[in-house]
Amino acid sequence: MDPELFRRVQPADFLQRQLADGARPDGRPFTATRKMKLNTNSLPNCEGSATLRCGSSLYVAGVRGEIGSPTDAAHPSHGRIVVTTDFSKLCGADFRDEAGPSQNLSVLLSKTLTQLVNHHKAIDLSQLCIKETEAVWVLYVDVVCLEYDGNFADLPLLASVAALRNVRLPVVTYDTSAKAYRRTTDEATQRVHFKSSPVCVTFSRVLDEDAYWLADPTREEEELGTALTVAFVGGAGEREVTPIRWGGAPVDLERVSRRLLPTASRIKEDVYDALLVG
Amino acid sequence: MELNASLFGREKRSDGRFPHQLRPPAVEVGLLHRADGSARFRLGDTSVTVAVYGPSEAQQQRKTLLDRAYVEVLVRPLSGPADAEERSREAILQKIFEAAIDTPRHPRTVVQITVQPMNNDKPMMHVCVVGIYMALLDASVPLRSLPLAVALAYRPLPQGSPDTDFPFLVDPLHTELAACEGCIVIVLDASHRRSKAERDEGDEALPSSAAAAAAAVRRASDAPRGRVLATFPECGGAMPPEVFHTALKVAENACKVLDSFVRLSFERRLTLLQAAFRVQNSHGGDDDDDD
Repeated sequence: MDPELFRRVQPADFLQRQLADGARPDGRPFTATRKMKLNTNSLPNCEGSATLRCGSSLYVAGVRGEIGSPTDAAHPSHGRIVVTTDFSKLCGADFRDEAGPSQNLSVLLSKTLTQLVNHHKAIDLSQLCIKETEAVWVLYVDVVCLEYDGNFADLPLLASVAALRNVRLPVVTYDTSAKAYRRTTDEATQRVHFKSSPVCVTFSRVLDEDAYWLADPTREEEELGTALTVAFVGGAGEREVTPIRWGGAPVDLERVSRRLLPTASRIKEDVYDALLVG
Repeated sequence: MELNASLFGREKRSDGRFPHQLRPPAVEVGLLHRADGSARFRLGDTSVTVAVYGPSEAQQQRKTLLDRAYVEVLVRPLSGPADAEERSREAILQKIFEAAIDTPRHPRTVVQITVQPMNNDKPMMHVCVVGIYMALLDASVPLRSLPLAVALAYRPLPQGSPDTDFPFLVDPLHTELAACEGCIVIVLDASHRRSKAERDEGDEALPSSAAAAAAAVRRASDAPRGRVLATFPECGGAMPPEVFHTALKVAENACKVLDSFVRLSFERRLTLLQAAFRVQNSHGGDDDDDD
């Protein structure tokens, strides 16, 4: 039978045979990520922006800064960052609210990425203060997926962090007559500093009986399995992680995470951190 | 490596519990007559009502999956319209229960789960998971795994405090969260423990050589089925990996309590049903039904 036809008609069997031979359909080893390319500052109307290409996936992230009032009573000088992900119809993913088993995934993902990006170990939000208790920067990050090929967690987060790292906030003055803060046309120099870039590494657990864990899954690998995402928020010294798994067959997570964490750390440092810096 | 002592906390909390203790659970099963299954599950004061409809015929084309059941979760807020918070809860619960329910058994059907929190407590995802589990049992929906969940707050303590080895608060209250680094929810599969015990029991019936061989095979390729179905942060919970592994053990202990509670609740109901069934049958035969 034609292999392409077999791949479409029996995707699970096709994948199983490939993995039993020790390689994935695109030839990568199990723990390797795809090649990634990051371009920054491509959108002139945003305070910061980034375009991320990974395999056939394409994400565009833009940051727009608005001036708002602090919402956290315990931290009156903290600004905030709000991440919104959008997997519209044109990207080819089936995450729309009304269809299929992945309902509401983009809402959940937005909430999770917002939590990660605002984590106190990753960023000191008081740098976004304009005037304590009155005005702070609220950074709205919109991540749009233009083409989807697996790995819904790592790539939008990378794109958002890259966009945030390239943000240049304008200088702001208080207009007493209008009783509002206005942007000035002075050169925008204020940057957003991350103590450590929050990134996450996703594995897909495919084929329940054999249970292969594949890093940076493509779309077909993701559809045939359940995902485990390891989110890193601490710096190099304190390695603090949050494993995130939203359902699937029961796994011995202690054993699995002992096996996968070194791989995840390596991917984080060698691939993701290097991408964000370089 | 770590002694069992680090699975228990020593210093009492504001409501008198130890750090490793859950609040007392309570449940009312079958309270909604129209639903196929329902349960109102409470952990202390945090309470959730769940209704399960199904597996029933899928009315809409888009909800028809050819090879399995379509699992739909709706979370209704206490007041006001549903917003992003409810939708992200739906997403997580849907993923957990789609894997837990034996969906290939009922293709082209819908299992609809409606969750109504009775108050605004946070964290409450663990209460929702157990509530849904009990409602599914009430509805007799076939399950692949039996999900039990517990929330753990992480608060690293300085050296010298009595609980340095136990930096957790199991089933935290909202007021306790402010002093914590974050909170995670761990969902475990209760069926793992039973199947392992059953395997051990089954060996005794075999002749000794076969039992020894079976035991040897098990030891050699002992891939335990594993227990963790899901884990996710409720409000930002990052911790060092070793601490996370301890958290899994702590969660397992807490889930044992919930497991016994679920069994007791259903066993009582089952014996009542069986007694009622016997009474009903004897009615048909003779008029005396003193039991």
